[in-house]
Amino acid sequence: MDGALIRELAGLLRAVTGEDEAWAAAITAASRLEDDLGLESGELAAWGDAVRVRYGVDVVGYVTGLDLDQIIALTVGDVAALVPR
Amino acid sequence: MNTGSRFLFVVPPLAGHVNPAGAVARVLLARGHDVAWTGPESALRRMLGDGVTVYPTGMRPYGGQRDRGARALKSLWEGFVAPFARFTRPAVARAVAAYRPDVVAVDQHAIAGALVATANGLPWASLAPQSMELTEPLRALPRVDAWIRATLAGLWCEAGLPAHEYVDPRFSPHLVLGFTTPALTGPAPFPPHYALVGPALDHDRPAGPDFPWAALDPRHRLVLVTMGTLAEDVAREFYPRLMAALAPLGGQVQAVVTAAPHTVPDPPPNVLVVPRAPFLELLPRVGAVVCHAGLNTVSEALTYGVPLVMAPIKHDQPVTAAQVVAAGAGVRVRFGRSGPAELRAALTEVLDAPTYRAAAARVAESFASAGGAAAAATRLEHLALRA
Repeated sequence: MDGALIRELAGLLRAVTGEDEAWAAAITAASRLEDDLGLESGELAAWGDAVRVRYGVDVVGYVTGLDLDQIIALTVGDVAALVPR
Repeated sequence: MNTGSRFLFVVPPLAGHVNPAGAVARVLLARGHDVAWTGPESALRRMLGDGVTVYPTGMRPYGGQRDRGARALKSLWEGFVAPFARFTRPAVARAVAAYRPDVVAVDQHAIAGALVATANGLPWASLAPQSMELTEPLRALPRVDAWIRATLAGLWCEAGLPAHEYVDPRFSPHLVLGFTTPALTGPAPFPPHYALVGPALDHDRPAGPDFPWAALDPRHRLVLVTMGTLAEDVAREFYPRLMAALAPLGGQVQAVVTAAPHTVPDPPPNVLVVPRAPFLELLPRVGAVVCHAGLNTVSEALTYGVPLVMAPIKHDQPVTAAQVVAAGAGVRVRFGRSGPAELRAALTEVLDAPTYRAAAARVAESFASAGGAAAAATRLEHLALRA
């Protein structure tokens, strides 16, 4: 997994949540959006917008194609994997 | 001569579901009809009073109350709606056999009622007391939607009903009563057997313990706070941030918080914490309601034209909050993360900008013209006459 990309995605998460630097620094590829980061639907939409603007990847569209267990298990690394190298 | 009809209400033991059904049942009784209930008896009696007829289904513990987001949706269906349907179906069948209703009124999360009514060839109505099962927002998540539909089809087959006659047990083919209006749902093209009657508020609901009216200062703007009956435990993490938001507003804003007092430690002097409050009596003097965006609370506030600050926790609450925001009658904050400054800014915005109150008044007008519990009762009467 691209460590620099994970840090960038963590930075965008920090921006949409208003959390602090320590919170963002603890984010890894394995961090689950729901259980670990407590992302609410509005925050997911805002993060999805930010990711789309920077990388041209449609996170929200990707999530709408998942089943419940996949949504529950969704990690920052799963989203990183959508970004073309 | 008694010319009334017999209505059996099938409901889960949840205040947000029982309260509107109870308001409709009270109208039917006042019009000379007969009403009975089936569900967990002690919970129903606590909410409806001791005078009602209840055919008990018993009750089992259901988990997942602390879950949020997608996990809460999974535990709602896997941990509550489906097992509640399986567990209560035999008792609901006995209730129908004993009471012999003309019409069965079935909450959308009390699936057993729909299955038993169908098996007995009885006309039945769906009661939709929340936002998730009316405009079907989960159609935007096709695989989640398909999983719920498969769960429902499985319950249908387990009940011995023929697969080729399947209808979604959340949506009666005879009548669907939604306790909202297009002012909130938007102009969704509902089929003709859907009746959006607006909130069914029970103004005669049994009064709670004495409320300390003398503690209210009429010179201050009043804010009412409730995070619902399901989230008492989870809401503990929200209250400290809200208290810190309210404290600097002392002298201008007074807040009444309905919560178990031990869940709100050290409230500032301008906050009154009470276990229960006479919501409908307080609302005419309230400037804003802070809540979890449960549809019942939202409906009560908007009926009185009171705008909202909403921190949705789970289930249909984000859907309801989005509808209120779209209507212009409130703002949404983040239950899990909004800090004191963000909460205070949201509250002062809603209290100070007249657009929110004007939008809430427009929703109130749509509610008033939709007819509420009386209109719902009339639709149920028509269904009984058609039988």
